[in-house]
Amino acid sequence: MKNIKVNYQNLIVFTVEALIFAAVIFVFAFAGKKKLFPRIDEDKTQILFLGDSNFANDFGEGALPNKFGDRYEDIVTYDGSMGGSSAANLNTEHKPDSYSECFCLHSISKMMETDDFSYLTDDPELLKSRTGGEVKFRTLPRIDFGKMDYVILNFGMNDYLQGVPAVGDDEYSYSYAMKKSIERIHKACPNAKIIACSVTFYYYIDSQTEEVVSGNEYSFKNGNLLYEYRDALKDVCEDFDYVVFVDSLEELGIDESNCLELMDDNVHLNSEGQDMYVELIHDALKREKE
Amino acid sequence: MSEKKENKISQLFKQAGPALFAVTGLIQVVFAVLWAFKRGGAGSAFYESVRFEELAAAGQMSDIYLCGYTAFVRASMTLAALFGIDYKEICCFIQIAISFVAFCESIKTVYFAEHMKGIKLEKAILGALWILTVPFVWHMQFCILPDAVCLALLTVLASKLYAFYIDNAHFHWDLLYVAAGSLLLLGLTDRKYFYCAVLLCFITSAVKLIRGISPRLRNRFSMLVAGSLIAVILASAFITDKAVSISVKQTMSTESGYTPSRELLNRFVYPYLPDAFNSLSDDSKALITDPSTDEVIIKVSGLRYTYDYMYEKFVPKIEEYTGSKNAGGIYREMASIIFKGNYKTIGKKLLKEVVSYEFIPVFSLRYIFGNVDSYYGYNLYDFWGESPVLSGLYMKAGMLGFALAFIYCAAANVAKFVRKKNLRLRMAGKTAMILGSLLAFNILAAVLSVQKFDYRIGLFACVVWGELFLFRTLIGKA
Repeated sequence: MKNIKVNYQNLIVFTVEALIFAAVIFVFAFAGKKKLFPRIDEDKTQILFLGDSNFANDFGEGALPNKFGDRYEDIVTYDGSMGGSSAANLNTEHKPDSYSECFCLHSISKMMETDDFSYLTDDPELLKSRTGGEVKFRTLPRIDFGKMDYVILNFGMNDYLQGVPAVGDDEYSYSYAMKKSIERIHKACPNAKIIACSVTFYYYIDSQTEEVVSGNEYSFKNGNLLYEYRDALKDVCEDFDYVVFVDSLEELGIDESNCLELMDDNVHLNSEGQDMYVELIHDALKREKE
Repeated sequence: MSEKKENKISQLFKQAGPALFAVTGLIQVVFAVLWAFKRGGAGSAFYESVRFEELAAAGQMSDIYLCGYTAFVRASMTLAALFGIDYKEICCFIQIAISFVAFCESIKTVYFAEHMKGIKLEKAILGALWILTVPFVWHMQFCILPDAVCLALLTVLASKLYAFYIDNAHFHWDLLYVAAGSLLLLGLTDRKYFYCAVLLCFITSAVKLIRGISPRLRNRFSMLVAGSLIAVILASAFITDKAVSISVKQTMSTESGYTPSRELLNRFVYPYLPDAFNSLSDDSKALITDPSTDEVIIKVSGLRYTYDYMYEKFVPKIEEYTGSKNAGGIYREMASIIFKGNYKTIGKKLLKEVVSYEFIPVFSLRYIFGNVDSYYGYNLYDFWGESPVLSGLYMKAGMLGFALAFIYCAAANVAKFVRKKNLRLRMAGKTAMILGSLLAFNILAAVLSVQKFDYRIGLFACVVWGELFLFRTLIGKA
């Protein structure tokens, strides 16, 4: 048998060098990014809003998260909402410049979990055309999610409009996307309670009868009826003890009788409707704190 | 510094290479295996993969999505139906196998050319594993895209070309076989890779022929092989072009294929249209305006510069009005106007991209850790799949290790260049050949690509730098 001679000095040097290289690699790979927020008022309740245009639309007094922050002095809000966002990944073009993939909650929650927002920030042009896009682009990557007390979600309207299945077992369905997103957001914000708001009211005016028809009676692209998205979210929320469900479809009190006064168009709340939404979310927060 | 101290530093430096190889290799392989298990098979919705799947399922091809890869996907679908498993898993398995064999073969070829003896099998296997599990390269094995297969073919071809470049003692029959085979396959699989492979063959042939002019360096074997290589290039270009055009006609493709003028449009016109629209001639403006609606064909303000979008929608629409024969002249005119008006911006962007691809192990960190306008984010999203944390760590740790490997390799070569005066000329020649060819490759690849950093374009540079590192650490001098 061959007599193998081990040079211990070389072996030790080799081991030390290998350990140094491993340390360098892992220190840089695990290194966290510098965060700007919360910058002040850390003793106040920190709330992150993630949602679609019903959160992002601004009627001159700021978007809904800003209104919320302005109205309640003990609260600091961060706006991560953007028009056109769905919860599910929309099974559309699958191209680098396609809007649907990087703005859905399913993608955003992955970015939050990894604290890597490359998909959002590598293409700033992509965000400019969306309501709230630039705010989201500038705010989200700079938030220290570990310091959030609440995360408020409002998704489902765009899933409904795009005919996304309300219940399913992949990222292209609403319930799965919400479930996975909630799990991921909880990992990113372990100290935060999540308040999941259901879809709000949708209507259209029947051109024949000129009557208001609710989204509860009408679906898009073979998708589900509006209330089915609400029910799907309610079922998802029951699985988590850190999630509070808010039935915005019902509790906001918008229906066929008053939708024309409280909505800007057939999808979006107007300023008054947004005020009511602020109240509703604040009530949910109060109940939760008690 | 005393000689003893200098020797000690030199010894430490020499040992750092294998230590770095061991650490980076271990990190890459462990993460790559975990990542592969988590991912399961190929994700489908990534760049053109959906299109390849649709075409393969329908038994069709187009002038962009050529028959080579479509047939590969189709064959995987047939096998999957036989064995009752997902065809994407079969695609991945075959791609990994092809790439692994190709990287082994390329390491063996280069080693033989350098040392005139065969390499130990375990070293070739370890080396191939190291390159295969570089995150960028590993990701491509799990995509329904032709990049993995094309990269494998290109790597084998490039190693044979390198062997031909440094070895004058043999008649390189194997180069001619490999060049004929890989060029034919690339020509039927992906035109961009085909053009880049042709460029590498031309560069090597040209260098050998030019050196052959000098009576001292003249070698009739080399001259003969170089001449034959050019004949192989021309034959493969002719054959694949004919094969593609015949099969496209048979499958009634609607997409427009690559032509030099369309490439000009892609790189120098399309991305700048939002800003440069008003500088175009009235004829050109009218051309990209729909006469029936009086609207610009693609809303200029919202124009996105994806490569396939241009070929799928923009070009066919223009050529519907002008006819494809007249379109070439119009594209060239538009390109010339926009290039003259924006040559600084165009040149700067191109230079940035080329440098990023050329030195991808370090420049990729700029995209990984910074927020730079690129397709890195889109690629990363697919790479994440359903396990973003693990994937993110693999990407960062893997590419950081690769950057360290690159720095070590560069430092080792510089040190050798400084210390070994007698080897300087030979080293300079080899370095110029490797980096020069890579640069030419990257310029062409960048011109043929979309106008943003996309790590799929830098895959060949990853393999080249990976092999250079291996030959400095695991394998021996190259």
